[in-house]
Amino acid sequence: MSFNINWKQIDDEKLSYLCKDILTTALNSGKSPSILASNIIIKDLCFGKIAPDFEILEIGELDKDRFRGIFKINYEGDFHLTLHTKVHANPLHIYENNSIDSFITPNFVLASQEFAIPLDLKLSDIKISGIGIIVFSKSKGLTLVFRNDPLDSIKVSSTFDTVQVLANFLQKQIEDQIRDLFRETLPTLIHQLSLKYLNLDNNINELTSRLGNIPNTSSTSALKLDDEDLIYSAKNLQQSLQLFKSRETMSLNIPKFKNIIQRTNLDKINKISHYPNLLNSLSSNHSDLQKYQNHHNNGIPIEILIDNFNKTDHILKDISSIQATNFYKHTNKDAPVPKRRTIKMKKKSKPSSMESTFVTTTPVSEVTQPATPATPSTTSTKSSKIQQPTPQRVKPQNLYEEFIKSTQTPPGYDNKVIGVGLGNSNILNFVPNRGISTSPIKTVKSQEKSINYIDINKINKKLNQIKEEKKFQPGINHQDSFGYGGIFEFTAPPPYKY
Amino acid sequence: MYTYMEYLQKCYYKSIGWNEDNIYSNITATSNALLEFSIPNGIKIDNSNKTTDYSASSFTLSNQHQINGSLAYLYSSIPLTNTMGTKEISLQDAIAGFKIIEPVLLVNKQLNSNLNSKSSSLLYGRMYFPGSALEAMLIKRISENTQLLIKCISNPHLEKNGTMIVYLQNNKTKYSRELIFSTNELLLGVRCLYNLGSSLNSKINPNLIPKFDNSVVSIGTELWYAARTMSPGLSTALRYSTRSTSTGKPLTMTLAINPILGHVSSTYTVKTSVASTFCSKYDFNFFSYASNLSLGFELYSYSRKKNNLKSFPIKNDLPPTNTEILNQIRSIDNGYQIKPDLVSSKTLNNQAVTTAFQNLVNESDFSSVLKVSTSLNDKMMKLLWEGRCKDILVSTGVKIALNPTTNTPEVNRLGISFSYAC
Repeated sequence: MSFNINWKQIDDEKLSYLCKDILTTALNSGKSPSILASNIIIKDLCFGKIAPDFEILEIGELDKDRFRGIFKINYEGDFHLTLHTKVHANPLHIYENNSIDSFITPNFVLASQEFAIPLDLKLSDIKISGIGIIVFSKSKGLTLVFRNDPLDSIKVSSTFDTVQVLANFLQKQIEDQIRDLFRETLPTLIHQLSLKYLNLDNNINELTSRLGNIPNTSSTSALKLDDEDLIYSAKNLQQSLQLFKSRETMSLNIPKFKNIIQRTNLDKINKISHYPNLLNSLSSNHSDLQKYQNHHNNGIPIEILIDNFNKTDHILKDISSIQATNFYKHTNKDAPVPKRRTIKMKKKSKPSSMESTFVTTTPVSEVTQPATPATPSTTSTKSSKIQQPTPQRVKPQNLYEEFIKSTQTPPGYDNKVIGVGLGNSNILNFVPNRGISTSPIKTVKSQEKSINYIDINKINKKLNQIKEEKKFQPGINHQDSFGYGGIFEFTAPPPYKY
Repeated sequence: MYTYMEYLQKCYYKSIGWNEDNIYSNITATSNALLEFSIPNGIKIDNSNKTTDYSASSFTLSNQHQINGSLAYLYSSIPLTNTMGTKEISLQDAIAGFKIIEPVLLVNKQLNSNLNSKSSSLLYGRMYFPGSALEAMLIKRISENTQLLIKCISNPHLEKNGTMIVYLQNNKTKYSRELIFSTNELLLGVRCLYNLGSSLNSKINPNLIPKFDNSVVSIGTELWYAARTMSPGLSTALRYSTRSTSTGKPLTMTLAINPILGHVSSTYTVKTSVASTFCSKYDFNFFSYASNLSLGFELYSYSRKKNNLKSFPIKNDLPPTNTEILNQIRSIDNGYQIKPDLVSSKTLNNQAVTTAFQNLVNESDFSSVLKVSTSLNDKMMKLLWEGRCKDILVSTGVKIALNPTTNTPEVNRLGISFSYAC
């Protein structure tokens, strides 16, 4: 199991400054060795571009509170660090400084004069390849042990490079120190850090175990806290936990909070960006379509096509491709190849205007998906009054026939396109075998009625017609103008009163 | 300010005729006294007593690390009869100041013959509390011009629980040589110093040397090697000490070089009046081009009470009794006897001028001294006031440095020290 380490995130200026600060304070803390004449400052710290390779080779134990595994880490990147300080070059001066009592130091006359030389030390070309064991347990923390010596090589360069003896000395010393760091210091540090972080965790766990299986949030008020380190109120924590859990399930029992009106997280559902829909996919290709963000439904507003009609073909092609890829992604290979539904629009007595050419190329769907209540976004100049449809229970017979008969292309759709959406378009959309649902279908005659209006009579008539013409067989009938995959019988869809 | 034990050690040296100025480490003693004086840290009380002519004890308390102190004992095999308590001591003896370099050829011989100082020794020990740190010193005279000085400390905080340093010193008028060995890092050192000047020529009768020609040039060198850490050290120095013939005011110039580091240090010290001394020091490094200029001065102030002026004892023909000579040990000039009929009056005048100043300095009754020292590179200034209040010698000082990061002056050291001896 290997990990992808996003090394570029470390190349942040703020993080680099923070690291430099922490390193500088750490290096200068404590008693500085007598050979240093001034503080150590970090001249340059660069994490490089290449990330280390971290891989878990084997997992020995995996449990809720325990983990044991063997990991492998490799690094061959361009990390480098430059330090700057001053060193005492006069050893007798160091002798004089170190001697504990001036009573027994001879009085040097200028032989112990201070002489400080600046020193730059650069560590680079670190090659690390190590295999180690990670053991984590919630009660004991994290321990990390290297099986081998992880440091392969490191390049140490300094201002004393011209003096071969000193350069070799520095190289050897620093190599030894870094090997020690990996084998001894690093495991200890990580262990202590893990203990520190787990301490807080342990407090909360202890708390919940102490609270036991209390379902009611109100009974936690009597709880007394022994642990003073805990900064959160136990009662509030318990209540928050209950609330969180209730939202994850379908449970109707929502814990009540005082003086708070709760709303479910609507933006999870409403926010367009959280769910992929056609508009978002379209707007990713055409950035100017982002202004049409419609928060109320999943449909694509018609203005996309009206306003940018020089790009209509392009947009339609995009919509088609998006829907095609979507379909093929989610169906297996055996599924029947769907066909695009075509709707021929007949322009009857209406004068065709320039817009109608635009309109004919844009089919209109009379059937929408049940989940998307398509709110028509255009206003028909002809329809002045809109009646809100109300559901009504209807007799199950002949419903379908009436439905088919009665449906014709409503005139309102001749000149304007109500909506082009997932469920609205027939050519571009493949509606899987679903039942008829409420749809904004309008009868030709009654202009005063809303576009959500369904003329059931006509539908039923048409259905009966078809029934008589041929035997109803469950099968695929492609000649149907509605492009259904099959004409099937079903009991009443909730019709609308007319 | 010397502690009482250091003062007694100086008295011992004077008693046996040991010229401390002839040791190489004191070649820059004058400028060190004016520029590198130490400021007391915290409060320190030093109470000492010379119980007999041969022994003394001292007790100190200071407030470093809450409270700590020490107890010291000293024993000398020759009687130290010329010491003064803090009530009567003259400030010139108690406080390190301008050191007049004098050839002590004659004094040496006279004093040595008088005293049975062939195998004199000085023992000293100090015990610190709390904790168990001890220090001890032994000065043993081996021959007329040779002495062995052993110092050791015992401290459980040290890695080997203690250190010992041994000096083998040979001190003659014309030159001095030293061999030093320390167990701390196995340090070995060799030092030597040569005096040049006509007044040191032993062939010429010292009585005939005109007094105005009393400039002394000293050249010395030291070589060190710490065997354990293989660290070398080397330096050479030159000192020119003379006196102005018209006014008698002494001046000293030194030049010291460390060839390994390329460091050069030159100082110039002059006593501008009886009560004031000025000093300047310039350091330069040939490799790093770093330089530093230090300036310092000291100002004495006279005591208010009327002091009985002693007449210049030049014309006095004091009989060389033991007590007389020992009593005049402060002013070495007074031990130098010139019979008036041997020299002309002209030289006597010059002599009078050059020695008058020195006598005046020695005889003046000062009550306090203010020392100021600055260092331009370190951006530091030291102030020290030392004086006598009632019977106690008080020394108080402050060290002010400019903080390199915040550029504000801050006080580095502040302290006061009281010393009483009887």
